Amino acid sequence: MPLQYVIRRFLWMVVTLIGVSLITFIVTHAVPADPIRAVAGMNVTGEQVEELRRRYGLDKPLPIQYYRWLVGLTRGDLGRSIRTGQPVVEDLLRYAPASLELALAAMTLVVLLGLPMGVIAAVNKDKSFDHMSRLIALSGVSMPIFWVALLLQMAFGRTGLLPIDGRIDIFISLPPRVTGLYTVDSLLAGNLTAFKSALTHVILPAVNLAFGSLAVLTRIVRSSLLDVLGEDYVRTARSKGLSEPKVIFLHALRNALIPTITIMAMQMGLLIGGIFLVEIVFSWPGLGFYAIRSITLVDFPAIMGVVLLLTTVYAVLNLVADILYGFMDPRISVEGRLTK
Amino acid sequence: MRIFHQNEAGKSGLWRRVIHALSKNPLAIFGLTLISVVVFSAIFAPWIAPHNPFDVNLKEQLLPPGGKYLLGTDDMGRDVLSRCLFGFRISLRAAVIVILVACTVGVILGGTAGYVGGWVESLLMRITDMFIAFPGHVLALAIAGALGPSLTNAIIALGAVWWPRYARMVRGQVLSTKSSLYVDAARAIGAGHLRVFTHHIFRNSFSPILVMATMDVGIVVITLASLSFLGLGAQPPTPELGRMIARGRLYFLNQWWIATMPALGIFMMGLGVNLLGDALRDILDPRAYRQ
Repeated sequence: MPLQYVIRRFLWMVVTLIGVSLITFIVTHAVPADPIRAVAGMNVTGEQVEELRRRYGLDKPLPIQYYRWLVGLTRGDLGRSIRTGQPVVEDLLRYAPASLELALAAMTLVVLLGLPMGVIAAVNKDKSFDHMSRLIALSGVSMPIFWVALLLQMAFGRTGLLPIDGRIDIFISLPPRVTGLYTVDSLLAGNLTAFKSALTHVILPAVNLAFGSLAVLTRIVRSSLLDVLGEDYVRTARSKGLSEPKVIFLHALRNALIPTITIMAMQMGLLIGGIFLVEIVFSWPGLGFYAIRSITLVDFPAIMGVVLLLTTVYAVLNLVADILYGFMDPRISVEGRLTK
Repeated sequence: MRIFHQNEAGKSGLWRRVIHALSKNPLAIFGLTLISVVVFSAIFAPWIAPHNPFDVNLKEQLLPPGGKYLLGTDDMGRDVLSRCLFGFRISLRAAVIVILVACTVGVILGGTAGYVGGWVESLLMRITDMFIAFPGHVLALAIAGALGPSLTNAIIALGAVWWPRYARMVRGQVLSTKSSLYVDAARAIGAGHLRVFTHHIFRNSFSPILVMATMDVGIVVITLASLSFLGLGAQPPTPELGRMIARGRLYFLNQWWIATMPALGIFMMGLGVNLLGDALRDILDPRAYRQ
């Protein structure tokens, strides 16, 4: 894996992110809405509004504002949220762990369930399991994610089997913060009541978030595996006398995973997008929740911060996926990057 | 036997085979039926809707499905069925506009990039990459939020998010057809650049763009519904499906139909498009997902 390829990709990622920040800046600032008025309320005088505007640096011309924001970024300062009054970086740090917990839980479900389901569907092609998983997959991508959320809330809210909002029961004291993920922290602290509460709270939103991607992963694994199973080297392996499970796991699956990784990288973008809707419906206090609140009040620094954070995460994930892809398929690193 | 021009034989032969293959596939037919129902409802809503979707009738609030109101009424006494039918109309019209805008911008930018090449291509593709770098709904939410909650702004937001895909695809198509024989032949007999582009290159790129656009309509409808669900799209009293679901959420426990019917509508559309898309993908290129 040539190092210069990785470095070039990394530098390109940074350039793209700067472009992203510029686009976000233009979008959020070229607007008729005025966040100061939105937050300050009705009973403020013109001078007070001007004072607030000065304090947030909104009285300067736009290119200056963008430049100052960029400079602040290099120092790790993303400005101050107009809505909460807190530094945006602090707000992000407060809300990020919740989203991280949700995303990790969802990804775990997607991989743990999707891979085996895909393999089973491929091996039992055109039998009932295959058709059923196809049906579920189709439903997953045809239904809007917030609708699945409502269905889940309805089904489980009525029966009371699982909690339908929040991260943890309100009367349980929070475990000491190590990672910010309630499930992990309560395990680390040995607090099983908190762990059980946190776990039951994360299940429904995670399932909701995972549903669409799970459907896609199952289908992709199935298709890739079916393609690979028809290849020559699989026939060779079989004629060598290898048992079927060995054929699948040692040879076929490894190659079937290559297109899977690229598709999953794309899915991560959708997963990040889905966070907004899932968090709103389940009242999950994460970045999506924070973002929606900021967007409605046109809180510039907050919006810039969230958008940049989420886009950076997505860009890094794509970079990792590209590198993994390069490792798994030596042809890529030899030929160099194919133009997209 | 008629002698066809090389493009046309290729194109009509392909379409004929596609339609033939589709007619053999029951799932594709089912998908096509669902889509047809939705499109039909959208076009003829003003004539087939039993009631006026805006008629507020506080004496007939929250009625269950059946009788005078086939799918029940909502919290303002409005007929859910009529609102859904008009909802189809609004969603489809908005989605088509978004795709048209995205296609137009995409064809212009992508086509220029592919055909002209050089630094123009690099610059345009870099800009495209920056737009594609945004994950999921993020950019659409930011734009819709910044411009203010309204259906028009949601359309603008989605158009801004969707054009890069088309730009990329068109550029790819242009690059691959740019160096083919008939283009060389056309240039040799003195065809100007614009003619070569519109007549030869674009004609052959048309089908994949059309397929992608058709598939995208379903996704755009769902994304539009998501924006409206969050309050950033169509505003009341406009009967947009996502908005109706958001409103119906408050009454979900006892008056389940208010949110469920619009959701079923979206589901019909999504399922139809996905079934058709799957079938088309299988027919046109069994390995298409491996891109």
